[in-house]
Amino acid sequence: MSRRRRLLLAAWLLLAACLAISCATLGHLQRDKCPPAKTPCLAVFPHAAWRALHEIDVTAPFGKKTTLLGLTIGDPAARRLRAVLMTVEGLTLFDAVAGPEGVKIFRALPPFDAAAFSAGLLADVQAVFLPPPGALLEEGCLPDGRAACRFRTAAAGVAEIDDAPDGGRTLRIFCKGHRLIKEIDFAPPGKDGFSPTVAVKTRGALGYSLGLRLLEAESAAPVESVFAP
Amino acid sequence: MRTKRRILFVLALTFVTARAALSAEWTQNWDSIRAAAQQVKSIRAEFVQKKEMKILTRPLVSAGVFYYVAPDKIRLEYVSPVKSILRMNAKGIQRLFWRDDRFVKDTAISVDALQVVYRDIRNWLNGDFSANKSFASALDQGPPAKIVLTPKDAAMKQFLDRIEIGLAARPGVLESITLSEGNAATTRIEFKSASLNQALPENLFEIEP
Repeated sequence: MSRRRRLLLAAWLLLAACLAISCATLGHLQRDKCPPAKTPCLAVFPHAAWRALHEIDVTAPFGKKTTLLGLTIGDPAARRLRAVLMTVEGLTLFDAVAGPEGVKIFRALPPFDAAAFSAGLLADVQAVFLPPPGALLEEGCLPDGRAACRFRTAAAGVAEIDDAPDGGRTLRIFCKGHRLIKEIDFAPPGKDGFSPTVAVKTRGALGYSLGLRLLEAESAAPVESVFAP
Repeated sequence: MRTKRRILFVLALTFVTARAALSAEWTQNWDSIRAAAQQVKSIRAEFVQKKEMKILTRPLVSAGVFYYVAPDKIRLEYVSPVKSILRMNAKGIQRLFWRDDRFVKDTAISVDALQVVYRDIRNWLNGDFSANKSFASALDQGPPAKIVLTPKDAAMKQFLDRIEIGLAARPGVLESITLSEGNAATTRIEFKSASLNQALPENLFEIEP
């Protein structure tokens, strides 16, 4: 075996080990003697069309850090949203629409021009702002008594939403093999219906985290033109 | 009383005319711009940044303070809505963000186009609009006088469509910088309350290793 192949094998084994270490799997929900949920399961997601601006603290793989501004405009009824990422200095890095008809990218500067990068970014935005797309699978409570409900995800996985102890919600996304791949903590929503902070954490060797802080939010009529270039 | 008013009116008119003449003088050509800029050794100015896009009902507004010491030190300090610092000296460019009650270094994003623009701002403040290889420059005497920069190559055009630099009436001072990304998306930085040639602390521009 050549030195290069041995190195590749070692790297692959290391990656697999990291993934294994980071694994958390989907447990069973109890159905009996569950206390009532404090709020409806999907209460953390905007119910009407909105426009919001967030400060986003990004901690990328290997600990690299930056802060960006994120503008989102969404229409929950149509399950469509527009996501714009900007530098604090105002340069648009990424601008795209995701909806039932697919993804349209209007602007993507490096590194956001990589297909995997933009797909991951839009998946995160959808997970934060739109309820899971699939059917309700089950409702119940976790072993510690917190109410939880589970939905099917677009990728045939499971999205579990539970009552967080602070009155917020935690959304956990499990892949098809029921391995935890993403965890999103929503602070209790404010009077405007938006969580003032949202923390996204992804698992695995290339895991990253996003800390969203709401700067401004407003309800906005779902005008078709906001989803056009 | 009437005489006093007339004197005041004439004085005001003289001031306005002189100011306009001075302004017209320094924005006349590249040499006059360079000569005026070279008289400016330092600047401290407040700024307001307005980001406009077709999908916004009102612009996104940021504010901060701008510092400059000739020939190559710049600090752009945003105070709202997000605290951040962009500082430049002969060694390079560094961005800091306020996170967990302290400033931390930006280690993730390096937007080449943005770095080119910031390096160029240094040249513009020195009155040199021909030094950058990325943009072609044209002087529009107005009024208001402005310099229009257009990208020379396709790679830069992907980032920015056009840059407009508004020249203030006060010789050597920039009034605004407008970055156009195309599709009606612009970022305009307006400078105000500029104080010139004051001593500014060196540590404002220091870059941490």
